Amino acid sequence: MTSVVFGGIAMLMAILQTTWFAGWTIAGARPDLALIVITVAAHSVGVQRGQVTGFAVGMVEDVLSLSPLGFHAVVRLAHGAVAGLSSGAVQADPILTPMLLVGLSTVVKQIVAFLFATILGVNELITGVFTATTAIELGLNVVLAPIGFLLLRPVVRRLSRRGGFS
Amino acid sequence: MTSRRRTSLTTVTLVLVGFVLAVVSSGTQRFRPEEAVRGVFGGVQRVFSGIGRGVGNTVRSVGELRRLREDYEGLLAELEQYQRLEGTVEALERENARLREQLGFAARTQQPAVAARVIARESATGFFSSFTINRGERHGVRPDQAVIAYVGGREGLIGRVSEVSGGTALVTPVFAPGSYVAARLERSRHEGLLQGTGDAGDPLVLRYVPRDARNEIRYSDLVVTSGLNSLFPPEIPVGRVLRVSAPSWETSLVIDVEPIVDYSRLEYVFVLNSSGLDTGGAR
Repeated sequence: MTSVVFGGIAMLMAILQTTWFAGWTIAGARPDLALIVITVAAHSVGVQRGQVTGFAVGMVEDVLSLSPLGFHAVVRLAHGAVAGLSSGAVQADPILTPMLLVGLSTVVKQIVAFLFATILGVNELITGVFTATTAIELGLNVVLAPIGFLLLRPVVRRLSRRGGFS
Repeated sequence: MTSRRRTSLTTVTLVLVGFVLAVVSSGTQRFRPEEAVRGVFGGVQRVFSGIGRGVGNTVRSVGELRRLREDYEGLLAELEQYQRLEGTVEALERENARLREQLGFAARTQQPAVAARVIARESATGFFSSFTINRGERHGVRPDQAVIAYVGGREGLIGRVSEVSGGTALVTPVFAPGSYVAARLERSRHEGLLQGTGDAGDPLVLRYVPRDARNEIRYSDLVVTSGLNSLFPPEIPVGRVLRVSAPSWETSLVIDVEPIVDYSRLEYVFVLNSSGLDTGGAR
């Protein structure tokens, strides 16, 4: 249930990022809202469900973009799994924990994308995974992380009450 | 009271009495008591009437004020509605102008084209350059067709259709890293291969132009599609020369080309039906 709900929210964010928020960029960078949602989900429910959520969202992104099928799925799976490691292991703090987790997820996303593109020889990938633009994106994600965690807290609570985490 | 004043009062009283008696006894009937009474009461009536009218007017004014206030608020709401309508009309007029411009361009273009609207840009992760248009297989859009746009009075090549579904299509823009366009300099006619760098804000790079052509190339020279061994029809403007360099390790010139179309303002595009063209060349 958790994967479905958070997957739905993350997919919605991914779609909004390419439509309504497509022009909202700072120096060519924009925050990855889907990444924040996946990180919240993974932090709440652990590695297993976190990576499933990430994989599902990534598959939808693959369908909607020119990436090879599975590219985004693996990237999202990876950062979902890493964020899931913190579930129950990290003391929840309303500001620092979200910032650290989302920052870590963004870095993992960039590294896995770079490795995966190199292995597959994907030459359509926008060059320079580690650029000023990605650094700005990292900053934006980190700044928005506490807000994302705060806004999604009621969803987490509701799902935990309804036994969605079990 | 002094005796002098008392005397005066008496005089006046007597004169008045005398006068009254004279009038009454004269029989001219100019003076009638009922008229005097009526006059007095009439004056009182006028006073009361005036007061009543004043109070009535005040009460009516309060009511009137309330009505005026309601009317005022109603008119304000109406004005606000009209202002909103005016804003909508202005937006519609602007859209109409843009559509007329696009329509004019569609009429002028010599190839059959499918008009489409850009509905999404890039992937959410930002790893891949692409945009989605609202026309697909149902509307005659096919993979590898050229996509052009008319923005701000300038037409230019945008990219090519990469993937098509029933109602939408994904377009690879010319600035994507894996995008190659066979191009030529319009004035000097030198040919080269135009390559994207991945960022819409960065210039495209034209390679394989002979080094000895350097003196013939000027700033702002137009770069167009060559149409040779290419997916794209010939003579479609792509960009303008920004700078020319001849690195020692390169056998040809490296020319930075500024795209002619501002991708951030892209709303409508045209998918050219380029069937019959040689599509076996560079991509």
